[in-house]
Amino acid sequence: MSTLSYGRQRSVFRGWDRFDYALFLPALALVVVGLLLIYSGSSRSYVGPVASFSNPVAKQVVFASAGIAAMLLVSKLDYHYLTHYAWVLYALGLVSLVVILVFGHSAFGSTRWFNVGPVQVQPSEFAKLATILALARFFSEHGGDARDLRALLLSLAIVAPTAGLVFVEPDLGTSVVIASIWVGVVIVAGVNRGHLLVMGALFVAAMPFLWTFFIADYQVTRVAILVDPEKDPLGDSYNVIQAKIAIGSGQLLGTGLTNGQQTQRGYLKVPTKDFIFSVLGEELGFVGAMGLFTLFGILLFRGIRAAQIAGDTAGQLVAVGIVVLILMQTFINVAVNVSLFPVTGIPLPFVSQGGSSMVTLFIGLGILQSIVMRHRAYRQI
Amino acid sequence: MTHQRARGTRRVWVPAAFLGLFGAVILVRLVQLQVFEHARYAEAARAELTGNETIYARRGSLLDRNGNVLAMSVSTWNISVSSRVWKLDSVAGPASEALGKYLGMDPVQLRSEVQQAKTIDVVVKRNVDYETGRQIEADGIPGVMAVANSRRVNPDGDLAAGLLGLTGFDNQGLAGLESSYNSVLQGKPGKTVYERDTTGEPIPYGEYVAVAPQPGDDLVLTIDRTLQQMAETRLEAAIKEHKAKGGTILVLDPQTMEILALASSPGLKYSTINLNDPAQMSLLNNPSITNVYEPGSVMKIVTASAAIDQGVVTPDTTYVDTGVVYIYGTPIYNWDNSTYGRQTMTGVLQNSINTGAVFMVEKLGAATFHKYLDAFGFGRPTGIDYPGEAAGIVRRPWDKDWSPVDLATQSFGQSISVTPLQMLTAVAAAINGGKLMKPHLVKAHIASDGTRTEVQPVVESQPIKPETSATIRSMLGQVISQDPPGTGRNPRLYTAGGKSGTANVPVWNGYDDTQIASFVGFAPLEHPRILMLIKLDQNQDFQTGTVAAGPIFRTFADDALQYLGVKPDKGTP
Repeated sequence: MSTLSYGRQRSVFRGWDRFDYALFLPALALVVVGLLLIYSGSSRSYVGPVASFSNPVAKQVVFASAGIAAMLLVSKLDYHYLTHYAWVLYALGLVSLVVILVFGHSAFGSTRWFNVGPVQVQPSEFAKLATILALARFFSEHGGDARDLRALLLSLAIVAPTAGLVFVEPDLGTSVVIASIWVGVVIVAGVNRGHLLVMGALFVAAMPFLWTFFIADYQVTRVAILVDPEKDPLGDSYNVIQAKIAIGSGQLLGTGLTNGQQTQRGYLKVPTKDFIFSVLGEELGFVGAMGLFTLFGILLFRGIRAAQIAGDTAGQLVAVGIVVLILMQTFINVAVNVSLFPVTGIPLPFVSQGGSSMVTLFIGLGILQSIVMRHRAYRQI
Repeated sequence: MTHQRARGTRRVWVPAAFLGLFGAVILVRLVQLQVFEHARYAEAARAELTGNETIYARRGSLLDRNGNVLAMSVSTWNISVSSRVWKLDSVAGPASEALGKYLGMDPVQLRSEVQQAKTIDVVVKRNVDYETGRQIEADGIPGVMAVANSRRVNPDGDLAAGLLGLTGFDNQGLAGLESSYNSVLQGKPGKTVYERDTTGEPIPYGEYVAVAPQPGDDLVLTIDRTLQQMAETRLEAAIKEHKAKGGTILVLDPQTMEILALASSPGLKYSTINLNDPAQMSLLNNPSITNVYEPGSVMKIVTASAAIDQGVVTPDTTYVDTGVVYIYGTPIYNWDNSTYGRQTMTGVLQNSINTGAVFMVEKLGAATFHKYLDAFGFGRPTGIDYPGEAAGIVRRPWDKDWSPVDLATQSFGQSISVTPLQMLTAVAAAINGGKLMKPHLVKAHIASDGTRTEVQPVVESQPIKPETSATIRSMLGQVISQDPPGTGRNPRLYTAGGKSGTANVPVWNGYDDTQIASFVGFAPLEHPRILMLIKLDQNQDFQTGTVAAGPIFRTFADDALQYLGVKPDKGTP
């Protein structure tokens, strides 16, 4: 790959007419839903003025605006700039993860944030994107043939440091997301089915050892309460039970926004972040959840479409990686809320309160847009 | 070519398919939670969000037959503190100071009691008076709640305590009429439901009365407050005078079996009862209803009633008393070991001759005599509306260790155990025209809307003919008229009938030398308005029933009948 192509590409770029609004609008709708839910979920704890940076809704609007701006910038940018610097970005991601382990700010028993002024920066979000780019770069180059076991193992070596560092933060959920991204990317990259199955089997076989030597006590507890939530209803499993009660009492149509008893009376903890889906389940009901799923469904299809029409392997793999990133986070977050997955701090994409996640996800969307907008240019080559 | 061409695009749908599958799993889970198990979670949410408090219904009052209050409930407050709110010393400090001032309790102790409690709501004081409770509520001390309660008040102090019984602090009747009529008195408790937040604090204006309490019925007792007072005072005086261990004065209307007064000693006194002392638990029973004794010669009334009703003797039938009668070689003597010679049946009662009672019962035979004992209600509870009534013990001809001697002794009130109430119920049947009726303590119910329902007298059976009853009345009248009016057993103003009984207290394998002196009397003779039993247990002066209890009857009958407005039928001497 040479830098020659960038000059050419600028000439074929024909502006915004290829911008995929069907990819952007659902995300925007999710942000709006998120703002409503954050408003509802914070109405108990926040009583200050509307236009204040300490108002979580206003703050989220700022983050979303920043995210959308970043998305527009990135979509104007050829994604090959990103794959070109993939290794640099990847290295930066790893360093930031190491630094955070040393200097980071702890919350809820794990170290995931940098404090940059009033904003908490979560480097694992950027590291995830960097890992996707690195994977795509690897598989789009000569020698990066996923059918080759050696290349497959090398690609695993790319993912392993990120997943490992995130895991020791500890953030089990993000590790699972990164692993899923790898699986998604190697499938599209043409992995040999037998290799994947054998590796899966090995992983399953290694589980007991991982469980014994690498899993933290709190993670054991979280798995245990998933199995038997009634064991400690006022302690460890409190959130899980309250979330289930909130969602269960929402029924078909929900109690109406700001009318959810579980949310408004403070039974639900972190109702604007990890457990925002419970607020939705309670206040907007099954119908609201279906609406949310529809939006994510459109994102899934438009994202996969981006992968399908991508002009080259790199674009295709990046697109798949980003789709898996968004939807695995969605799945894990909701699964935690409905007690199908142990509690882990994964936000609901575009919906949960939080800047790093929001900006990263919009950057991801920007990359997808960049791929969609340029698919003809690269196909013609 | 600088960029590797994209591969076949079918594979991009594989991750999509997995993600779709995950989505489907979540969907199924949501359907499960929000549709199928919705009711369960909604209920859990409600249970979490709502607390409830029982509002006790106003407990019905106990009134005497003339409407005087014997027991009533007054509104009080139970003060409770949320241990969650008082978890922080910064909150608990000032709050306990403020609350301690109202309750007169030590703030430090109050605080530690609440903070060390294992429950959320800790009741720190019960039955705080109405005004103080209102002030505490108005003051709004953090974590403090006043819950309406009520307390039982007895305006007459210990009067009739042994009948009324007790309520516990949860407003449940524990003993006496409070217990037997608990369900009627307590009404139906209501419920307030309030919403609370995560600290368990009720949310302002979130409270509503879910179920309104239904006040209990007031009960009009058959007891006459004045007669009860009279009975209690005189019993106490008699116990003192005769150095007795205890006793009974039971006064009832033999026509209706309404109990007018019942004094029992030892018995419950609100002023001295200590419910933490297990030895005092027996005081919660009324011994006149729950304990048995051997009635002695009072039983001769029943023996004579049976013999006359059966026609085996008349009042004028004579026999010769030799001072002793042998039953299969066992001698039976008279109570005073004297010999009375030729005697009528009336004379047998007048002189209380044991051999005469044996004469009657021999003529009746065991089977017939026991048929009459059954008819008079011996050996089974009278069915009075008071808890824990004893059935009495009657030796039966078919019992394994039955001997004919038992039949003989039963004729004068031994080998048979009765409760004072049972004895008086049988005598009432003997003198009221032959009707065995159910004794009762409640005359009427007054519902909360003011509707009054009278309790009707219940005639259970007719053990003897009305003529027999008239005969017995006149025979018993002749027992009393042995004394000049105004002396001994004979009332000054009213004709009367009666019979004494002095029985030894049975102990294992024989009799103790302690005794029970009793007297059963009624007045006026022809139309008895009151029938009473006076019983003194183990009187250490060893006076007989006639001597110890007889005069109590005389004065009581005079005073009670005058109080009741009964016209003297003797004229004023």
